[in-house]
Order: sequence, then C-alpha cells, then structure tokens
Amino acid sequence: MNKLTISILLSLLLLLSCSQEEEFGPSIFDVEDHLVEGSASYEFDTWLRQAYLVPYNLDFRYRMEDVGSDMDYNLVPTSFNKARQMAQLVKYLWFDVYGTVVSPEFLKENGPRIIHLIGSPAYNPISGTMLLGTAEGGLKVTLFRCNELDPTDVDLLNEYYFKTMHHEFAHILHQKRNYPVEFGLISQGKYNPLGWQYKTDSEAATLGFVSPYAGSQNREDFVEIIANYLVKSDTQWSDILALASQPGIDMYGDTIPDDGINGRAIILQKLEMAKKWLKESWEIEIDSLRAEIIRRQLNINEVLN
Amino acid sequence: MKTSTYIVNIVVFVLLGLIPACKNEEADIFLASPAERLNKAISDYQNILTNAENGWEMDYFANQMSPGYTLLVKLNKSGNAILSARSELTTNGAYEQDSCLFDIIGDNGPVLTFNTFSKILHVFSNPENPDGYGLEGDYEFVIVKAHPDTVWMKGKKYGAEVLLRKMPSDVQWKQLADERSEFKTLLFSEKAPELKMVVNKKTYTFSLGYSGVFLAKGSGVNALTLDVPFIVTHDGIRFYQEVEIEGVKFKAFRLNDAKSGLVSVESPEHTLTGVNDLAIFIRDDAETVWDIFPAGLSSTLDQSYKAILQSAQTLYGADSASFSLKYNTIRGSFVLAFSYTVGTTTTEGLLDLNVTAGNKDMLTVSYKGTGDAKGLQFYNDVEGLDDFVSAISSAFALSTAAKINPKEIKFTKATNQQVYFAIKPR
Repeated sequence: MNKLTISILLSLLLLLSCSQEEEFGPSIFDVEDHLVEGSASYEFDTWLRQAYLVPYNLDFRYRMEDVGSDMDYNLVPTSFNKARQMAQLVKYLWFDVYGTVVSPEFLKENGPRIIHLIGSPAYNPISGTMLLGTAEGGLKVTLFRCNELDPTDVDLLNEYYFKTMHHEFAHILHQKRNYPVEFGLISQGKYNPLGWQYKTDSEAATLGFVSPYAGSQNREDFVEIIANYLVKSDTQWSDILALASQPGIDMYGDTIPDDGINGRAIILQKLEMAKKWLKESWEIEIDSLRAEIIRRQLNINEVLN
Repeated sequence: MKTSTYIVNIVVFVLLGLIPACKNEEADIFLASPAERLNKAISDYQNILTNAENGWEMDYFANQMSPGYTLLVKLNKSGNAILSARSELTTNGAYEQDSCLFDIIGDNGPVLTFNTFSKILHVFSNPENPDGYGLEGDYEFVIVKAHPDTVWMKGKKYGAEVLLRKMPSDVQWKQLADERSEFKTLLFSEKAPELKMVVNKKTYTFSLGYSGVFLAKGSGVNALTLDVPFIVTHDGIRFYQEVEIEGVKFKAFRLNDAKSGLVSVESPEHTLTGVNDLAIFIRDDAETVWDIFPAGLSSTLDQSYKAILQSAQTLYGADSASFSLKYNTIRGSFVLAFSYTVGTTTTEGLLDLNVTAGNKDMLTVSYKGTGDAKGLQFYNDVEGLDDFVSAISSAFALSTAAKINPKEIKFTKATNQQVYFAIKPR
C-alpha cells in the first residue's frame, strides 16, 4: 500500500466518522419502559405510557417543569388526582374523538408531542387576563388551571379546558396548513389585541366574534370559531347567534349604537369558511366531530375511575 | 512537485495538525465529569433526604421579606412526600396534612422539586391574592449542602434560604405542629404591645410581631428602620437573617422563664421585652377597650353578674349585658362601661373610676361616685350593679399567661384571692 493510498484511506475514515449521522427513529421520546415498580406514581405512569406515549408518541407531563413553562409567571403544579382525571378526560374527549371520527392515525401524525399540565392559571396582572392554554410550534400544548377541574360541570370543563384544547389544536393544524387569507378580511379593522378583554360577550357577538378573545386577532378568531362550535351544545351555539343578532351591551350595561354590522351573518360566514378548510385541508367533518364530542360529554363519569 | 506527492503532504499536515490540538489539554480538576458529579450529588442527597424516618422540620420562608412557617415533611423512597402544618394559612388554622410527589432533579445543581400540588407547600406559590403574585414563594429548592441531620437549601426562583432539620423519631407531627402554633399565639397577637429592646442605651421598638415580620425602629428622625422577617422556633424566634443594631448582631432569641421577653442567644444581655409591669401597662393604655368576660369571673362576681343580667332583662328587655374597662377621653377618666343589648341596639352607661398603679403588677381601682347620665341611671336602677362596682373597687394583683403578649389579664383581689375577674382586649 503506497503513501497515497494510506492518506486517502485515512481521509475517508475521517470523512466517514463525520457523515455517519443518526437517523430519526419513529419516536422523539424513549418509549422503553423505565418505570420503577413500587414508585408512588407507577400505576398512573404505566397508564400514561400505554395511553399516550406508545400509541401517540406523546409525553403527558403532569409533574410541573418550570423550565417547560414561562418563568415570568408564578405557577403551581397540578395535584396528582386532578392530573389523573385530566389525563383520562383528554384521552376520552379529544384523542379518542379524533381516533373514532377522523382516523386512528390522525393525531399520531398531527397531534402534539407534549401535553403539560399546570395547576394554576397564568395570570397577567397588568392586563388583568389569565392564560388558559398555549400551543407551541405545533408540538406542545400547555393547559393551565387544572387544579380547578370539576368533572361534574360540563360547561366549565368546556370553557376552561376542552375549548382550550380544541383552540390550541386548531392552532397546531393551521400552523401546518394555512387557513384562507380571506378569513382575515372578514373582520379586518375590528380586531383589538390589547383591549379585547374589555368587551362583553354581547359586544363581541354583535361584531361577529364568538367570544371576546376571538376579537383579539384573526388567527385567534379562526380557532375560536372551531373550538366554540365543537364544544357548545346546539342551545349554547344558538344563544351566541341570538346574542349576535341583538344590539350589543357593553361592560357598563349600556346599549351600543347600531353600526350596521350583522354579527350573526359574520359568525356563520366564518364558520362556513372554517368548515370548508377543515374538510379540504384535513378531511375533517366538523359536524361529525362535534356530534361525537357532545355524545361523549354525556358519559364523562364512565371514564373517570 | 508531483500532484500525488502534493496531496499526500496536505493530508499528512492536516492529520499532524489534529494531534497537538488533542494533546494540549488542561489536567482534570475533578476526577469525574460534571454530569457524573451531578448524578452522584443527586443520589447522595436522595439518600439523605429519604433516610429521615420521621421526616424533616422545614423552616420555610417564601421569600426574603416573608414571615417564616414551620412545615413538616417526610420524603419517601417511593417519590411520595407527606407534608403537614398548622398556621393561619391552613384551613381554619387547624392542623393539616397531605401528600404530593417530589423529585430531585439536575437543574441549577441538584434541585428538590415538589412537582405535584400540595396545599401545604404550594399555598406559598399559588398566584392568587393578589392574582399573578400570591405569596411569591418557592416549591423548588436548590440543595446547597446536606448533612444527615440538616439540609441547607435555597428557593430556586425567589432565593430564600430554607432549612431542613431531621425530626427525632419519637416526636409526633401533630403534637409538634400544635405546640408550635400555640407557642406562636402565646408570643404574638394583633393586639399585643410592641416589644422594646435597649441596645447601647438606645431603645428600639419591634412592632407587628403577629405578622411574622417585625417593623424595627429606633428613636429620632434618622433612626434605623428595618423589616425583620422571623420564624417561631420551639423556644423562641429566629430572624431570617442576622441583623446588626448599634454594632450588636442578633439572630435567635429565647423566651425567658418569666415569659416577659425574648432573650438574645448571641448577646444574652439584650432582651426583646414585652410588658414589665401590668398595672402601668393598663394605666398608660388610653386606647384599648378591655372586656370583662363572664368565663373569667370568680363565683361571687359571676353570681352578681347574673343578677345584673336578669335585672337588665326585666327592666329593659335586654338580650345580653356586658362590662368593659376603658379610658374615656371626654370624661378624662378610666370608666367601667355597662351596656345591654336589645336586638341590634346597644345602650351604654359609664361610671368613672380611679386607676392607680402601686407595687409592680398591683393596681387599685376605685369608683369615683360619678358617671354619665346613663351610667348613674343604671347604677341606681339595675339590681346588683352597685355590689359589682363595690367588688371591683379594690386593690388587685394582676397576672397573665405571658407578659410578652398579655391577651388576658387576671385581677385577683389583694385581700381575698377567691374574688377575681379577668379582662381581654376587644
């Protein structure tokens, strides 16, 4: 072997050592069973592994990690019992719904990879608001206020948790496939990112928003339409439309002068646009999804043990 | 130079260049890598923390300006933590116990984190009242140092020093928590007089002790003013941090045998003194209304009180009747106030008293024979009232459970110990 050959072989060796990159496996988490039998959380951790980690490649984090949240907020963890209830409800009212109505693979491919539970709300004392959930980069959903979970109150469950989950998941979906640009034009000029919290439900509805927060910016408007439509009963949805048809009442109880906006028509127009986008972009029939959610809401006690 | 020789030379130079880059390394300061050392520290701390069979007494300060609380913590090898406490933050101020999960993680060094909710511990971190802030306390603690009997920690976010002391195996948790809570109540209450300490001939007052954070003030315009957080210990108090006053350093204090003051451990010639002479304390207090309460009456006075109540019921339809001692600025005199209540309406009459301090803790009370119109009307009309006034017109020996915080003061007749009554601040 001459000098040239040796040199080239050495060089190739060096190059090889640099080019042997790790290939992505099927999971970003270690799905091996490392749970310690006899640990205080063994039973629950085993259930989480079987319910979330193995099938969905999802890390359900109920032990609070402050580094996994916004350190500017003062927060507390979720209680163990509330975390157990929440994990069961999230599976029943979210993951199993999509698995049944859309496809078993849908959330495996498009669902979040981390769900992080926080016990308290994330208060913003300056604006007087509180954060109920966040979705980060299509990967992580954080749910706040979990210590207030009351499985017997479906309306509160929807308001504080499941509407939030569908809201955050809709964000994940539109971060993957954009919603129509035209949606943002419907209420253009009516969004108020800093003052939305001072609007009443009535005021928001007359402007064509399903909630005050929907009036903060158009991407929130888009996901609020989806989330509210999914979790609200027919009566509750009709109430929103009825509110949108009446003169608005502001926070002082005063009637707002008619500005010619047909809030009801706008909400329905937005809903149709969201339905079409879900169907065309994701092959999701929102009405089927909604029917399944509402059916399951009546049977919540069956899943809690 | 041939092309092949040229390539060979380049490759050899490159390889030669890599060798010294690997050789010129600093000698290792530690035998193990940072990750290995962190893992070892976590393992060592885990052993120490879970080996305390009866758990730990935790001196908890939410942050460096907050009062201290005693929490009891047992860390089980299963990862389950049991916590208990009794304080104004527990439900109805009663003893409470619950559990949560804990872990020791590698964060800012080894960190003890209680990562599911416990109402005993996380009450300090719950961001409510006021919303967004709460009590601004930690539930994650950087472990600074650990011995088998003591662990020194620091709150991860707010930085307060938190101490764990191993509980003796024979101590009952509830008993300790109850005793500590009762001791705290003995030492401090909202109506307790401010404490005083003389340092280098200068008097400093320590007020607001019931809040767990003293407001310490010197006298004079430019006097020192300090907020001094402290925790109640088994025999006294301990400041969160050492405090220097007039060049003297203070941190821990013990209640003296007379229960009249807290004696500095570091400088025993200095004492945080409560009331020295109960008679002078009452005589000089023109603000407090002292209620004479039925449970504190001797049998003679109790009979008299019941007769008075019955008479007031007959005369005025009274639902209840009561006595109090107070200074009345309009009358410029101490008064015995007699009042009765019908429904929500209370009617009061005043009888003027002379109150004179004699020997230490000796107070002489005498009826002046004067009063306001209502007082004199009651004196004449209500059966037994004149006897009651006569009975309390005497010299009394004053006593209380702890002069540092006289919550109830007993008046025992100097000439007859079977006659007594007691007062407490309204």
